[in-house]
Amino acid sequence: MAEYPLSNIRNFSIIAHIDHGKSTLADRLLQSSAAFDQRKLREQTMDSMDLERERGITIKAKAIALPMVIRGENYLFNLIDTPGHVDFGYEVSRAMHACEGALLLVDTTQGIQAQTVANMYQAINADLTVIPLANKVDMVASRYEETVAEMHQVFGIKEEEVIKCSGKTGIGVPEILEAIVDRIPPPKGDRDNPLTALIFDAVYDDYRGVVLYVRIRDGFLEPRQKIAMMATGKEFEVLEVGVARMGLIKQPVLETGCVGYVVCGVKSIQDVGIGDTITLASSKDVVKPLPGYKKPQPMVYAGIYPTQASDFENLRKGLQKLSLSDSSFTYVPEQSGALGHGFRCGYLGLLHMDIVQERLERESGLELVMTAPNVHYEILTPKGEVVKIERAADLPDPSQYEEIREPIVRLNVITPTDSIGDVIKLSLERRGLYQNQEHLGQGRAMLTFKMPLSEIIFDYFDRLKSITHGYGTMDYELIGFEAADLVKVRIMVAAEDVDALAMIVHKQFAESRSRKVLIKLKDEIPRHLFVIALQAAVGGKIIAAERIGSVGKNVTAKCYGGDVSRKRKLLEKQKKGKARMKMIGGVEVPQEAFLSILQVDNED
Amino acid sequence: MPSLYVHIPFCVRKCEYCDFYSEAAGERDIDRYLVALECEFTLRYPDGIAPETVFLGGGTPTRLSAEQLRTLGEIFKRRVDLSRCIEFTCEINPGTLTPEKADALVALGVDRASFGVQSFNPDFLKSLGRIYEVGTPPQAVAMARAAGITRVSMDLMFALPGQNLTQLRDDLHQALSFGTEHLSLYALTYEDDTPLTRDLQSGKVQPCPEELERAMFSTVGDFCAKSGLQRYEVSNFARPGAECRHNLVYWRVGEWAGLGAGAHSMLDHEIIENAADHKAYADALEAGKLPFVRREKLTVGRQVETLLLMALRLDEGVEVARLDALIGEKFTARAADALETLTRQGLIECGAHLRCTDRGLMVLDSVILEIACVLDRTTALPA
Ligand SMILES: Nc1nc2c(ncn2[C@@H]2O[C@H](COP(=O)(O)OP(=O)(O)OP(=O)(O)O)[C@@H](O)[C@H]2O)c(=O)[nH]1
Ligand code: SF4
Ligand SMILES: [Mg+2]
Repeated sequence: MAEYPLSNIRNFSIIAHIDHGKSTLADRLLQSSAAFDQRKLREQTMDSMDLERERGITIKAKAIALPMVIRGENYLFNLIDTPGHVDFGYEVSRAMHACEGALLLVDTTQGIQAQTVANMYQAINADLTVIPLANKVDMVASRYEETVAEMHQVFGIKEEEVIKCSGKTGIGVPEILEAIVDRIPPPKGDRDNPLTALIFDAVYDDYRGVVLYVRIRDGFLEPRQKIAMMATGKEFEVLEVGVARMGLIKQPVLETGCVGYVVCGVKSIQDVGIGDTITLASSKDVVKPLPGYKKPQPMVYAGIYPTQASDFENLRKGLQKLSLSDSSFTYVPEQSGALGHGFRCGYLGLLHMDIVQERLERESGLELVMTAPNVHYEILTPKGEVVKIERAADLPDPSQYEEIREPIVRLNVITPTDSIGDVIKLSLERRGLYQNQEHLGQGRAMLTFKMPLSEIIFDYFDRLKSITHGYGTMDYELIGFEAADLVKVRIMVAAEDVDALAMIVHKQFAESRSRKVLIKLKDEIPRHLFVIALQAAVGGKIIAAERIGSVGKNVTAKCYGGDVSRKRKLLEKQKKGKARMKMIGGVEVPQEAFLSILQVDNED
Repeated sequence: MPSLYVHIPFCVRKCEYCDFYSEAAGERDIDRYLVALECEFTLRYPDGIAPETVFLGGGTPTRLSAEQLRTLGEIFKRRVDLSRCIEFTCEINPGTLTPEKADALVALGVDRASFGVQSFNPDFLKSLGRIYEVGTPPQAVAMARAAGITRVSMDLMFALPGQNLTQLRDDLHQALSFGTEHLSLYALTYEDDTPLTRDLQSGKVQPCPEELERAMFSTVGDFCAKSGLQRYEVSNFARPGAECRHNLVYWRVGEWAGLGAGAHSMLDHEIIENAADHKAYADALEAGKLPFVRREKLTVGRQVETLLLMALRLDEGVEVARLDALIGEKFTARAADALETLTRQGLIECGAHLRCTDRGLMVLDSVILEIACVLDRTTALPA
């Protein structure tokens, strides 16, 4: 790659609400690149993971380096495509640390949505130059004028700043390219200063091992340099540097201001401090680390168990392998009376959980049982210690703690105005605290609530979608922990506690939610030769109960002309079915029961 | 000598609920089949066979013409020694019997008729796809009696879609009005891949509610008891001494030779299964080969399971000593876990015989599963 003076480098990310067209536009820009190889074009170049292609969403931010010729001059664009879903907000924020600018896309058929707002504020906080784009103007449903007016009203963006475009047809792409050159400042930095580079991402590559994505602030990176990670003090030797563009492209050197990758013999992605600063081993005592950025904390937790107890080790291997390429989920071994040995995993959100579980099943071929997700809690002990509780079964008796606290988020909802009443009602029902309302024009408004995270992961998003007829969008951010009137509900089958089904819920929902779990169990547990009592209890008090009647009639009527094999086959099948059951209090509970509890569709 | 079962895999047309192998076929197929059948006798029993019981089943044996039945009679004369035979049953579909066929059956050696009536109610007959009218069964019984077949059994089905207890009692009443000594009363089973099951899945027919089915199960028992017929097997009722000796051989897991397409044999703890398709069956025999498609020598574990599966269907249950002998250990000790629980639940009784109570019979599949699983856990049986 030719050398580019700093003044001809532009680093920017593409940000937007989910599905507003980031990856499509990135593909377009890639095609405009001087280095673009038409023969390698395929749909969704940016979304390269199978799962991304199937789901049509971006899961991981991706950086690509694009040589460009603009008005006859050579430029290097370093573009980072980001995911839009709220669970991956941290990907967006770390991408921003590697950039001077951002393309903010708004889908003109939908207008500003919750993540548009969240991303825009993040960009402003990161001091980025924002180029507003009104996208998908090729569509019949496009409402360009209204969208521009909305952008003005919500963000104070001037009409003439907005570029009218379509990532699909290419409308506006030349203007975007020029705006990138004209509006986004080139990176500052000095090649002669000691090296400082921000690690903003890391991926695992089967050939190279851990690949770190970095943004060079000062100095340069080249093979054989001795480097150090400032937070950990660990030292490495640079083996390879390069840039990413439809694959990794090796370069002799990564210059000041550039975005690229470095391979330096880091063994595991878990050892990489994303947000850490790389410098030369020789200068680690003289430079200051770059403003860092904190590793995201898991927001929801759930247990994962192998269906076959003997698969426990395979599950561990699968998790280990997955964690090589995704450092944002956590896993620790745990044990459950009902489910045996498994792992408690922490995820960034429900979509993230879904994706990790799907990848795990797909990549390791294991059959898994997942417990219902929960948030984590804090208890304050009489001694004044704060203890973290990651699963309900671990919550001690109320006499053992002074108070229990739950995570609280600030929730932004964008909704058509005619659903405002319903959204407020739903949010208040879910223990939300109404805080603010802002009209966006076009008959839409943004509502802000303070809300327990547990209520959001319970079913809030699904309910929001349904009451707003699909138009509502939301975004949330953790603002802290607050004490609440929470109780542990124990679920008992035939008088025996099923630890995997215990849950922490607000007192006011304890009964209604327990009942739903019991009804689900009743549907899933086959009848036995005896009556089975299903109970939910808070402390020693039963708050809900159901029963499963005993088998009524279960006998093969006819035995055909001496054919005994037929009956034996049936028995073999029944024996196999029985072997797959989990025994709880003398009751055989099918694995599916645990899964279906996850899918309790929560109409209160 | 083993008992003898001979299978006639032909029907006039397929009934709605039936997943049994049987086929509508041309006369020539049947003639060819009878030749093949004799070949099987010759190959398997070159010196003839002298069974204590014979059962001619189907399909529909009486689908054969009088002429063909006489041919079958010739085959029997040449191949089967009936001098020790104490019971020779033929299944009869009432709609297919004629006086001439009845005579042919008697000539064949038949002394017991098992009429597949299923119901006396015209609506149910139609919905089950049976081929005859309401007046047919009485005529058929009369024909059989006139020809000299003295012992009469009838098959009825209950728990039919839409059937109520009154209709069931009515059917039972009619069935017993012929001096019937034996009744087989089957709860309708929805077998995979039958037209009736498809109707059930598509919601065209409503299954009998479980409560009602249980009530019917008890009703048939009570009704028969009052009429002097005892339940001696889950679905079978007889006047004392009129139990089906042939079927008892199955339930007690004795030995039987099954000949004909799709027939199963149990000989020296080995299951032998014949080709189900009558053409494949005939092809094999014409080529001088045995028509076997599967042979399975039962391991001790499977012998035990088979015995439980079959014998627990009987009122008499299974002799514990026989189980001990098979296992080579005390059965009651090995299965103690299951036996204790099931006894406590009032489902079984265990003395010299292990047997199901009335309630136990109703949930027999679950009872056997419990015992079998405990045995699997506690017993390492020789393969
Ligand atoms: N008509 C039209 N469709 C578009 C345009 N841009 C994107 N789309 C479609 O909109 C959908 C979402 O596009 P993506 O590029 O995957 O959106 P994204 O913002 O990257 O989505 P996430 O990464 O999941 O947040 C796809 O079906 C695209 O084909 C456009 O300009 N015009
Ligand atoms: S007559 Fe018997 S074997 Fe033939 S189709 Fe009907 S039920 Fe099945
Ligand atoms: Mg995308």
